[in-house]
Amino acid sequence: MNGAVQIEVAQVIAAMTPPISKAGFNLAQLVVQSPDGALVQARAYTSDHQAVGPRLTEDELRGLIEAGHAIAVAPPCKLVSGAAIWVLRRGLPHRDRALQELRTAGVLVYPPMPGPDDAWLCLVDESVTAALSLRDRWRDDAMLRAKHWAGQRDWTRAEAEAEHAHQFARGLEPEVLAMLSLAHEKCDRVKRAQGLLTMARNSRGPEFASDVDAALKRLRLELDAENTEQNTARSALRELLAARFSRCPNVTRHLGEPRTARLDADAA
Amino acid sequence: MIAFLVFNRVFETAGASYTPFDTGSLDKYARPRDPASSWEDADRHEFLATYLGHGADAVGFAAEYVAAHFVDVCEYVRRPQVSLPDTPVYHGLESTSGDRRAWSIEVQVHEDVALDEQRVEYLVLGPQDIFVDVPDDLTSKVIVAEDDGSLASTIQRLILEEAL
Repeated sequence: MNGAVQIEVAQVIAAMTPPISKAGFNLAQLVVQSPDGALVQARAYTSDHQAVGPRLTEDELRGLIEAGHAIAVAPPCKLVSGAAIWVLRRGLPHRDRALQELRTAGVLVYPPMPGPDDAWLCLVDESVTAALSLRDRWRDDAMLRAKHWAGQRDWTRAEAEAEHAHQFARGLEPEVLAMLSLAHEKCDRVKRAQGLLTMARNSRGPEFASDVDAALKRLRLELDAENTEQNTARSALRELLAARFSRCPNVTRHLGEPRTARLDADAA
Repeated sequence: MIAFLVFNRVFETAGASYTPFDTGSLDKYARPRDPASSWEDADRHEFLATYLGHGADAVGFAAEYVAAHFVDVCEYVRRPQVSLPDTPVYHGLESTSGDRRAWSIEVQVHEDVALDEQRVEYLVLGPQDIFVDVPDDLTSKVIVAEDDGSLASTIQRLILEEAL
């Protein structure tokens, strides 16, 4: 059953996010309370200054917290229209910089509140365009870093960045899922890589799954091409070095020989 | 928010039980249809004991129960939070707020249930950002809802796809 509370008198008392997560970033809807004690999980904000969403009883909220679906916000803070909690967890790289960017963008309503497991609970005003633009940029940056590390064949880092991109994304996105699936595959987590593609199909249908497959093919081609370019560049560099050293016969002669052989040759 | 949809063989666990209503509602918003009925602690305990069944019988019971109360059996799944069946519920319990939990079947498993590939049919996630916390073995079981608000409709869709 849906309920509504007046924003200007409501307090934020809980956030719908697990207390512990491997994620670096989580988005949490708010559980808000009106002065008469009514509890609502705020899913939307109306133009007549109300937060609306499913009504909860105190028992239900306690159950959600005990089951790890929600965390308490203590002390409670005043609600503002458009607010959600962005959870910056300790696994998020450059967490200080992210917080600073929230401040600079003018979307951080209060200083971050301490959460479980060293999480920072940031009440963010998502009605300000800058908030969602910032989140999109974080996703784009994480994707760029994932591709960079993939290009370097550092799949562990690529996987971590692709995970972050997936967490920042505001929905399932074919490019992000493709990057994440490829990274899992390269990290020998084939079951997870395939499970992710199945999840995409089951969640959004066969057309969306085709989009993810196409993105995966593009990504493989892109990385292969990049690898070929790097190999070509390396070959060119090797030829350049060889040409340069060919002008110094004593050095060229020893290239590629074991160190002991070179020492023997030098001694001779 | 997450929801696990498990295969019904889990109900065959030795300690499982079922009731044709939410047991938590007995103390709160549900009471007998007949306003003259007494509804003290002892009455509630007796009511619970009368309608409590073994988990292994839950599937067979559910088929008859749904057929007896709905013209279209899929309506059992489709009806919103505040709603009634097509015919008054045989046990006579009603919610003071019209909540469907007064007639929705509850199954309790009174022991730990391993949430693994053999038992979990679907794992429905509200937000996608907790996908990272799903064990590798269960990733293929995950369905990400469009948003937190569509968790219930996603579950409804999954059940109806299987039923139809």
